Amino acid sequence: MRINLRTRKNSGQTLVITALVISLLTLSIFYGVFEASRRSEMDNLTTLNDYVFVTKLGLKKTVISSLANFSSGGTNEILATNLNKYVSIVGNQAYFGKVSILFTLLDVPPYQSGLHLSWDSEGTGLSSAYANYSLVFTKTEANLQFKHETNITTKLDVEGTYNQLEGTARNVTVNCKILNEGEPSLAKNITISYELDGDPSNQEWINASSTNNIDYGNGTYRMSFIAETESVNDPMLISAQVYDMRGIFVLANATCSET
Amino acid sequence: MRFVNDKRGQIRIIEALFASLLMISTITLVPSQLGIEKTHFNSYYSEGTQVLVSLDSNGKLSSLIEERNWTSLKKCIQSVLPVSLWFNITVFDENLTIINDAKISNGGLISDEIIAINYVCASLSQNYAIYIVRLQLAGVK
Repeated sequence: MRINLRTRKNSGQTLVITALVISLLTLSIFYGVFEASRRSEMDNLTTLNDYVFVTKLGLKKTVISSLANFSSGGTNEILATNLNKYVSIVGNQAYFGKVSILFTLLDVPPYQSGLHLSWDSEGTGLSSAYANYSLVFTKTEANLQFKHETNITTKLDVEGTYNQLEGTARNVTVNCKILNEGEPSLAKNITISYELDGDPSNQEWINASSTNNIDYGNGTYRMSFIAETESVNDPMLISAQVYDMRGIFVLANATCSET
Repeated sequence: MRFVNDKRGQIRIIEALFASLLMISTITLVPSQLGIEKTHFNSYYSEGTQVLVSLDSNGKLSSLIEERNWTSLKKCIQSVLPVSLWFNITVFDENLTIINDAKISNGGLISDEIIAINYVCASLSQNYAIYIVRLQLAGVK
């Protein structure tokens, strides 16, 4: 009788332990399910972010290419043409559902069809392009929309000084500073020329063969050369023509001061 | 009165409840396992995209394509991808015509599970062009 009682007491303990094990098992399965689905959602988001980043990069490069073309003598429809081409190709990719890109080109003066060139004689040259976009991802579950804008600007600041040498010869020093989107940037090519008689109306520009070039590595360049003007009293007009590393052309003229 | 006092069946009911909970959670786990496979795809997709972006952000990718320099393109991709990944690149123009006349790959296929990334690459040059770079990746299981 005593043995029977002990057996009955122990059977309850086994049940409790079994229930504990089963509940632990259930909890761990629930946790596993939750964690796996969370990780999957995070990965999907990262992949979508990558895709949006790639699309933005493509749009930016399209604007740069269009500005490079326009600043080198192209027509101002080039930006719209190139963006249409890019948008139509991206629209055919359907990894995240249907992608459509709506773009607007800035048409507020001084911009025309999203493009603007300002190459003045006050020592500053500016080549710029501006467009904004709306990226729409259409899926069966939901729609996603991203707004984005691209402003590409290449700015050139030029200033020069000269020392009068013998006769009509002058030792000219020109400083050029190149900025991309307001940040110092390197130049691919710089050409300096000067006006023979200091009068820009007759366009007698002579290429300066620079004798001393200094590249400061921060978008600032110093060039020195000997110029021969028609007469001693002619103003010293210089012109700097620069291609930045992206192939965008910018020009600026300036009058040098005597030191 | 006998039914009220007889509590022997209760533990069976609790057991059945736990068993059904287990079965339900296992059924719920099946779609998330599919998600794990997708995660594998996503990690390759992300890795491949970042390789292409790093090459494309400074215009290197489009300039190599414009120069038709397939050897350099292969070396560039090979230098940034892990050695455990197999890759194959096909470059298309806007009309989806293949323009690489040489194979851009790091060897033989190592797995049947291949993922493909279609990367739209815009050129930086004045003569605007768009290329579609298809990067195929596979890893050792």
